[in-house]
Amino acid sequence: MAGIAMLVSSASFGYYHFVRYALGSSAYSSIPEKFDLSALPNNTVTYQIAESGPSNYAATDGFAAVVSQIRGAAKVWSEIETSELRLQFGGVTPKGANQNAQTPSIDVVFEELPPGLNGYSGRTVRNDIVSGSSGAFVPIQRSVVVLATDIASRPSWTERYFLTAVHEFGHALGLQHSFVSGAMATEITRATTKIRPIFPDDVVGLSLLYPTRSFREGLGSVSGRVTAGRDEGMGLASVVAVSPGGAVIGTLTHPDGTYRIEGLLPGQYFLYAHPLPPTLQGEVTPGNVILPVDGAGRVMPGGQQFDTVFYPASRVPFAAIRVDANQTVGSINFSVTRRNAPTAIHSVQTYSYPGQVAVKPAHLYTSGARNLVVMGGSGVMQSGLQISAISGAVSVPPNGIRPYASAPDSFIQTDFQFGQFAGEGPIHLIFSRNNDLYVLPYGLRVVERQAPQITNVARVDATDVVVTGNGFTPSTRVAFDGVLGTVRSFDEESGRLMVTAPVATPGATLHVVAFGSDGQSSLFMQPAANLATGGAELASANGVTLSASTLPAGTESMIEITGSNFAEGSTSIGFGSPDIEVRRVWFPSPNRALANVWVASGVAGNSYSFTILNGLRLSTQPGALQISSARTGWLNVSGAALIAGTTATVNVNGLTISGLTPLQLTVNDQPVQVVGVNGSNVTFAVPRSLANGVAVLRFQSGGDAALPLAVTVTQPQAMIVSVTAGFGTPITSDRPARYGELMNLLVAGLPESLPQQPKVSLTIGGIEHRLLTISPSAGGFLQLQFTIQTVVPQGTQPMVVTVEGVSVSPYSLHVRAF
Amino acid sequence: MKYVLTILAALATTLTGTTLEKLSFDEMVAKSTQIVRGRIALSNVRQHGAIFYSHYTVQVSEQYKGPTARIIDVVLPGGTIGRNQQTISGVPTFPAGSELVLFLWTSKSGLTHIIGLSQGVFQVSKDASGQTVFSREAIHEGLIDGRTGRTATDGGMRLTATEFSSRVRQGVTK
Repeated sequence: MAGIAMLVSSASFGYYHFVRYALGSSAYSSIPEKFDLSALPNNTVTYQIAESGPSNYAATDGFAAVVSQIRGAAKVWSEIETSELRLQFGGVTPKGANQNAQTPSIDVVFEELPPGLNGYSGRTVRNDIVSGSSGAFVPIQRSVVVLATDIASRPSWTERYFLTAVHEFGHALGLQHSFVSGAMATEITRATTKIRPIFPDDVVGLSLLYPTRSFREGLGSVSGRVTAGRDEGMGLASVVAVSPGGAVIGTLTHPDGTYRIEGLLPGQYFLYAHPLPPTLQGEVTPGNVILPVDGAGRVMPGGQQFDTVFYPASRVPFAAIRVDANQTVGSINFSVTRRNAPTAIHSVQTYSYPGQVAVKPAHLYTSGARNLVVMGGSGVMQSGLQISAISGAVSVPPNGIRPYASAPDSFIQTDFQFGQFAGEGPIHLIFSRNNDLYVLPYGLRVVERQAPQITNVARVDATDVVVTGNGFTPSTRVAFDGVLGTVRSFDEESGRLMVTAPVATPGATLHVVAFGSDGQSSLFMQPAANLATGGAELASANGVTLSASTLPAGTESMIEITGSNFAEGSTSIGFGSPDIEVRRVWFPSPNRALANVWVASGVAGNSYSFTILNGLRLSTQPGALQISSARTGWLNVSGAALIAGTTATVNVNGLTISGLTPLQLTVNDQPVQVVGVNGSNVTFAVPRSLANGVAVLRFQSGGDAALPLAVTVTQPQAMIVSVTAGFGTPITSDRPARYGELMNLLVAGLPESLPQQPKVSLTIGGIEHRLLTISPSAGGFLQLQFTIQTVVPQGTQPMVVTVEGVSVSPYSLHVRAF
Repeated sequence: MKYVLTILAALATTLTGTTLEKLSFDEMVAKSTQIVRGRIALSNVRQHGAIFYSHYTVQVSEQYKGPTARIIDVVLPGGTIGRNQQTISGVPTFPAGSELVLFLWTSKSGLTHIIGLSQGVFQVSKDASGQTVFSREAIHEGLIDGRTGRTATDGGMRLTATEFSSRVRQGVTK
């Protein structure tokens, strides 16, 4: 037990993760379930999509479109910069193929789901607690995202299909339901849209599980405790920090009532504490939250009902908390009043009708367009309901709430009027009646323009499409089955966008959606989407060839792939298993890709399918890769890239290297000079002539060859290595450069061969300086001499040098008059 | 305006994010392949591809809809196999021997599920007058009011056995 106590001591966050507590009564530090980054190559978890796919589609829908939307959903989480975790498409796979895979991953499968169930996800864990850099955790062995085989009524291009996939991926990564209307909220109150699929709360939730080193930089936090009665901690209370008109981030309290909200941008926040909503039909717990358990696996108490309250103790937000960067505002404590029955007001949904389709959450148009807002939910129908906004952007006028004429027993219609400072952004709503209080973050969104509408889609040629419509702006983007096209031009007068569409199967039907920068899309008015046909030709799967059909287990190797229309960002490959990981792909040309493929040990004898997804075109070659038990040498290189003109070290695995055996190392089939051997490490000179891009390393020792490896090559970055005055006095902050002084710069990393009079630009503080001399110096450096001008402002000034078009890294020069 | 209302209703009945859709009693009757009363017990957990399914055996005592069966194998996602535990939000668990009324749906692959996870589960009990009552109440496992020691409830649905039979018959013959 002592060991466990030590493990948990570093964990401090709550948020909405799947947590357990190792100790029953003290030191409430939660232990979340999450992927073990140290077990994932490159901090990357792969997801494989079952090749069976859905079995019942809407008329124009198909598997390639489903795969595209699922990839888009995974990308949402993968692109969170403050999270270390990355997600990578691992290809399509036969059902059950990865049952015994060794590497943690996510399976996306399609199942016949019973009526009333559209999807779910689960995580498989063992009862192991391990220690990581950000605290103790329970490693997720595998996750599964289960989607329906029948998607005829929920087609792949809809907001609901995509947002469900985003939500289920969130669960698969370790996020529970949250209560601030983001991606991890239940679908009732979720206020995300396809173009804005996650909110800051979701970003912080994932970043707490997989934080980068810089996650907390520039952000603040709030901590405190929620108690009732005689200092009794209220566990599983939700505490929320809300920025008026801005971000909302929440957390759940520990069993002792303590909490900590992290990831807050500096600014003013209102804090409120509320109980979990009561269990709804179809849920097994409030909000379907999986309750925390103690070290013995017993469900811990919590989730008691109390009156929602704003800090410090009011029913309205009036005392804002100031949060500063890198600071924690502590002792933000709530003393709450228990109640026997849950609040009558909860689970409220808001809708607007920009056209004939209900949009959730409701959008209000400052342009004065049709601002019909309808609300449904528990407790909204009783008289005496009051609705207000946390910011003053909107308000409800007297008699502004009435039964909705078309459904007077179930819904209310609410009028809103704009305040003086109303602008685009979210509105957080407060509902109250008697002692019931309910806060709905992101309950409304104020926008200026109507949602975009597509009136026509016409293909121009194999790659380009003209999309015509209303409400387009220069920032309008167009997606084809979830993949954004490249906008080539926009003609405001005619409302025409020229867009390059992603590669697709010729003749395939693509679903076209226009997105505004305000979060609206053409789906608001046109839920059936618009159609275009695929145009660009792509070699079929049979036209794609691999340079190797067999790889040994426990190795990494480069495979060359030939085909057509390859492009960075739109072409993905995979082998349908987390045990075969594509670590990096380069695209030296549209017809050629180089991929470093890592094979887990212990999978010899297995065969794997090869998947290539090019834009929207999906092709699979079953059994394309066999795994052998052969013992073969393989390479790995430390560092991200080889720098031309320097030395690099390659680690040779699985081969015996001795001084008696001739070694040969080639880069792009050209032998290179080996400058040293230390054990299995071979250091070599990287040819100066190598161009930026990718190169292939091959190694041979006697008659034994290692598997080839692709590596990135970069030219060295030119940089200033020293700045001296006169006869060599170093310039520092204590000894700045002075007006009129002769300066010497030594620059490294410039091309060896320069013209006799190279073009040089040198500015200090934006002031152009004329060079007196420029000449080669010992060690391959270039020496530049100039005199500091008296018009340069005193202080630390940027010095910017360019030689023959090569930019030298910026340098900060200290300057003083005398 | 009728069109608007239809869409509104469709949105409003969507439930939680794991990802359930609220069904009315009549919809559950119509969409179920079997409705039975019986005692349930976990028999085993098996892996079906990437999904763990907990297999429950239902000893049928009364049948309201569907083909007659004395024993039915019902699955719920999640469960524990060896050291591996797969957890899924929103999946109910049942104490061995619980007497329940279940709305069931058998897929083409032959697995029999409960409709809408816990939506298709009714508890069996006696009311104060001794009548058998079928009720669907929220499960608040572990959520105990600290002061009263009682679980909170959400109202749910409550029918006598006779009313239940009648409503199922009406639904089946519609």
